[in-house]
Amino acid sequence: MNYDYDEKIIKDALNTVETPDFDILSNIKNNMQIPKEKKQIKKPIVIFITACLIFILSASVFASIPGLKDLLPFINNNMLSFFQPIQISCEDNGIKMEVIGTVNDDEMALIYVNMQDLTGDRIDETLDIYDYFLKGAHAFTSEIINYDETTKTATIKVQANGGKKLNGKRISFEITSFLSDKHVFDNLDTGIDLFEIKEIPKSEVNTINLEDFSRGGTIFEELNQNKINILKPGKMKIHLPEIDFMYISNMGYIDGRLHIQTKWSEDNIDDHGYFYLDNINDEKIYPGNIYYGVTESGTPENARGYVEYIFDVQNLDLENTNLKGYFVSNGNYITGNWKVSFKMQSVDEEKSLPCNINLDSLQINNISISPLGVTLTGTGDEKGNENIDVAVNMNDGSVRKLDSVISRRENDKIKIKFTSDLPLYVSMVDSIDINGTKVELE
Amino acid sequence: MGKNNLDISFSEGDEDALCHAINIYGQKLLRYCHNILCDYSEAQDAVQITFIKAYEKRKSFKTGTSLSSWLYKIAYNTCIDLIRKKRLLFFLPDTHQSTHQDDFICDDLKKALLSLKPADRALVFSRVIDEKSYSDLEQIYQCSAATLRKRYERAKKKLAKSLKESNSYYLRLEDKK
Repeated sequence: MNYDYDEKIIKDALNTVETPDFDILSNIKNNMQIPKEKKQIKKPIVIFITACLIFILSASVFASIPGLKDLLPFINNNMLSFFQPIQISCEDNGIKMEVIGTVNDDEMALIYVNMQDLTGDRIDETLDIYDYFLKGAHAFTSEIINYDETTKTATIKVQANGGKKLNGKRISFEITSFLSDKHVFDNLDTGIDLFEIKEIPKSEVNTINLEDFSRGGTIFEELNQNKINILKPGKMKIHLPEIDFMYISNMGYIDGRLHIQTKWSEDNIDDHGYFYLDNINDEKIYPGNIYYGVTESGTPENARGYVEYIFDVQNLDLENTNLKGYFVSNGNYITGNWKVSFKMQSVDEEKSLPCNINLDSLQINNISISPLGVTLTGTGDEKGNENIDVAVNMNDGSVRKLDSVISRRENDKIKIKFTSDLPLYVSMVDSIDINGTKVELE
Repeated sequence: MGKNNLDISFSEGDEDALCHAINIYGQKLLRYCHNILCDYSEAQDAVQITFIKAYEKRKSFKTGTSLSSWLYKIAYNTCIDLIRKKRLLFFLPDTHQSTHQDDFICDDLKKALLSLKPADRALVFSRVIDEKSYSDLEQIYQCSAATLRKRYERAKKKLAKSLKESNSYYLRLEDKK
C-alpha cells in the first residue's frame, strides 16, 4: 500500500499502540463450557503465544556465550559498561533475531538487535525493518548501524522515546517484516526531451475534485482551486533505464503544467520515488503528486495504481532543464514472526534535581541526568529549545557538549532531552551548564 | 489446514478449526478491537465475545466467502455494541473516558482517536494498519465502497490533523551541529 503523508502519520501513531498478546484460546474454551447467561470473561496474566522459539539463556549458558564486545565489535569500550546485556534470541523463517543489549533511562531506550540469515542472503547492508513493534514504549525509530558480511549479520539500533518509567519495565520487541536488497536510482536521467512532450487537448483530460484524492506537494495549495485536469490513464508505456517496477503511462502539458503519469507494480511493497526538474545551475524543482486508480469505465477514483506528478513549468527555461528521477526499489520483502520480551534495567543511576532557570520562552523547573543525556522539564514554548546550549562538566575537567535535541509536551509540561553520541558516566558528572548557568550536582 | 478447509471445518463446528481461526485471527482482532474501544481490557472481552458469537453462529457463515471478513464484521459489531451499552451514541464522536486505566495508548493519541466516531476509528485502522481493500471493507461494514472511501478520507484527514496538533510525540529536531 502506498501511503500518503497523512496515512504515514496515522500509521506511525497507531503502531505505538501496545496490544499485549492474550491467551484467547484458553479463555474461549473456558467460557464456552459454561451456560451463556453465566459467562464471565476473565483476564488472565498475559501469555505470549508465538510461533517463535524463544531461548532465554540461563546464567550458566550466559557465561559461555561470546561477550557483548564480540557481538557488537564496533562499540567503543567506554560504552560497554553502560549496556545491559540481554542476549535473548528467536528464530523464524531461517532468520535469527537477537536482542543484544540495551541502554536506557526512565523515558528513552536504545536497543541493539542483531538480525542474521542462517540459510540465505536475505539480510544485507540495506536492511530496512518494515513492520516492528515495541510494546512498552512509544515513538520508536530504527536504523541499521553495522553489517557483517562474513556472518550475514546486520545490527540495528532501535531508539524508543516517550515511554513511561521504562526502567524496570518488561517490554517486548517484535519484527514481522523487513525489506532488503534495496536499490536506489538517484539522479536518473530520463532522457525525455521536454520540448517533445505534447500539449493535451481539453477533450483528452479527466477533471477531478482535488479533495477526493490523496495528494502531496505545495502546488495544489498554490493553485487555490478545487478541481484539476489530469491525464487519462494508460495512453503510453515508456520504461525508464534500469527501472522495472514503474513506467510512464502518459504525459503532457495541461493548463501550463507538466503532467507525468506513472503506473507502479503492485507486486513490490514500498517501492517509491519521484521525478524532479534539474537545470544547468543544479537547481532542483520538485512536483506535486496525486494518487488515483481508475474504474473499468476509465473514471479516476480514490484508489492506488497511478501516481501523477505535476510541475509548474510556466516560468521555467525548458531548454536548459532536464527531467530526472529518484526511485527506490526493494528486492526482498520478508515476513516472519520474530519476537522477544525482556526487562529494561538501567545500569547507571539517574539523578534529578529541582531548579529555577529562565530561558526566554522557557521556564526550567527540573533537571535530570542519565547515561543517555540531560532532560530539562519546564513550562513555556518548546520552540525556544533551538537556542539552548547544554554542556556537561565531568569531574576530570573534560566537557561534553550535548548536541542532539528531542522534545515532548506532556500535559502542560515540556520535556527537552539533550543526548550525546556516547553515554555519560553520571557518577563522574560535576555540573551541567545550561546557556551559561551552571547547575552543580551534589 | 488450508484456508478453504478452515472455512468449511469452522462452519461445520470443528473445534480444531476454531482453535486454528483463533491462532490466525485472534491477535489481529484483539488489536483491531483495542483500536476501536481504546481500552485493552474491553478489547479482551470483545475478542472473546467475537469468537464465541462466531462459533455459536457458525451455521450462518457461508463457505466460499471470507472467514476473515466475517470475523471482522462480528468483532466490529461487538465493539459497537459494547460502546452502545455504555450509552454512547454511535453517530456522535464519543468522548467516553474508559473506566479502566489503559496504559497501552498514550494520552494524546487516545484523545485523537476518541475524536472520531467508533465506526471511523474502525475504518481507519482497517485501511491503514490492516490494509484491507474496499471490497473487503464492503463485506465488513455492509456499506458501499464509494461511501466508505468518502468516510475514510474525512476520518483520515481529521485524525491526521488531530495528531499533528497534539504534539504528543517526540520530535527529532534539527541537529544543532
